[in-house]
Amino acid sequence: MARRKKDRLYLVERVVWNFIGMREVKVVPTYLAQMAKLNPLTSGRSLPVFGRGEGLVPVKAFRDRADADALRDNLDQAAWAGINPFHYGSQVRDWSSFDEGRLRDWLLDHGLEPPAGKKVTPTRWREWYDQRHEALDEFQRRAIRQGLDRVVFYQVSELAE
Amino acid sequence: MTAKRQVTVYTVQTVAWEYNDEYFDRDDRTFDPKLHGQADSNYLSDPVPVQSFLTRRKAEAHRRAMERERRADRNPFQYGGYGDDLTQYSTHSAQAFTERMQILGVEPPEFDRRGQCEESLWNWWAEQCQGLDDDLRNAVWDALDLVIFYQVVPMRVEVEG
Repeated sequence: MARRKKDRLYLVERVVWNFIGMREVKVVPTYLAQMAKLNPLTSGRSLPVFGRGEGLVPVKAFRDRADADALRDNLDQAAWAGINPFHYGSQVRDWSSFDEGRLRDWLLDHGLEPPAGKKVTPTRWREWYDQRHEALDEFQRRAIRQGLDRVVFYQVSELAE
Repeated sequence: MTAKRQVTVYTVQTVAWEYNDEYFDRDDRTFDPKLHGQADSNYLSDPVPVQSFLTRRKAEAHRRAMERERRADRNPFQYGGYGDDLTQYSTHSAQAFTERMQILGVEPPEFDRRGQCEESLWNWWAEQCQGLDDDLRNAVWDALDLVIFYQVVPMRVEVEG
């Protein structure tokens, strides 16, 4: 028998990212001014780096899945606006379900030249994004978000009685 | 103005343990959206919801499963004290704890008249419990009911639809 709709909810949850370190920079890029404020040990010339924690904080519940997905998408998009996604994790597998080669191919397919070299350090990826951030068009921004599919700030869980 | 509708979800939350250079000390805080509700503000030791459920029964079942996983090969007497005073680890009296161990077929620790362990409870665990099969070791740990890594905490969440 089909479960009655009122017996289940779709919960939008905030993904918890824990502060794990800092990246020293000579100048904080303008678009990261807000992110710099998140630095709990702020020195003005360093930016926080986060690791994904196990936390999922309830935000709002919906009876309808589509409504929950819509809020998640809006919140996630807003969260992405003022960040460098390469600060959320320390290696390619933290950022993407692609391996490094496939991530590079994905970026190339979307008109983005990835950082040069075979083994690219996290700092190099972060600088690469800083340098390109202002010039990215909407298509490329979306492609980066899709490619970095593990950098998420909200998710939807289905709760059933 | 109509009041926003809310629903209670039962969150399984981490319990915060802070290392004090000798043992892990329990922090009785639970997740506070005002303190820990900002994106990226969490530290690793902050209490945080990890999963939510519509019923307490489901949340408790999940908490028990996570508890067993987290216990793994840890020694419970590293959490809460110096390993000599049972009251720091259990709400059971020394006598009740001893009887419970006897029922389980585990050699109990020796307590003096004040309920203090004459030898280190850390050592008792290492010698008598560490090598037990998973179910029996967990049954012993269940009697140490103050040493928990997760707890179920109800939260009110706005619901729409």
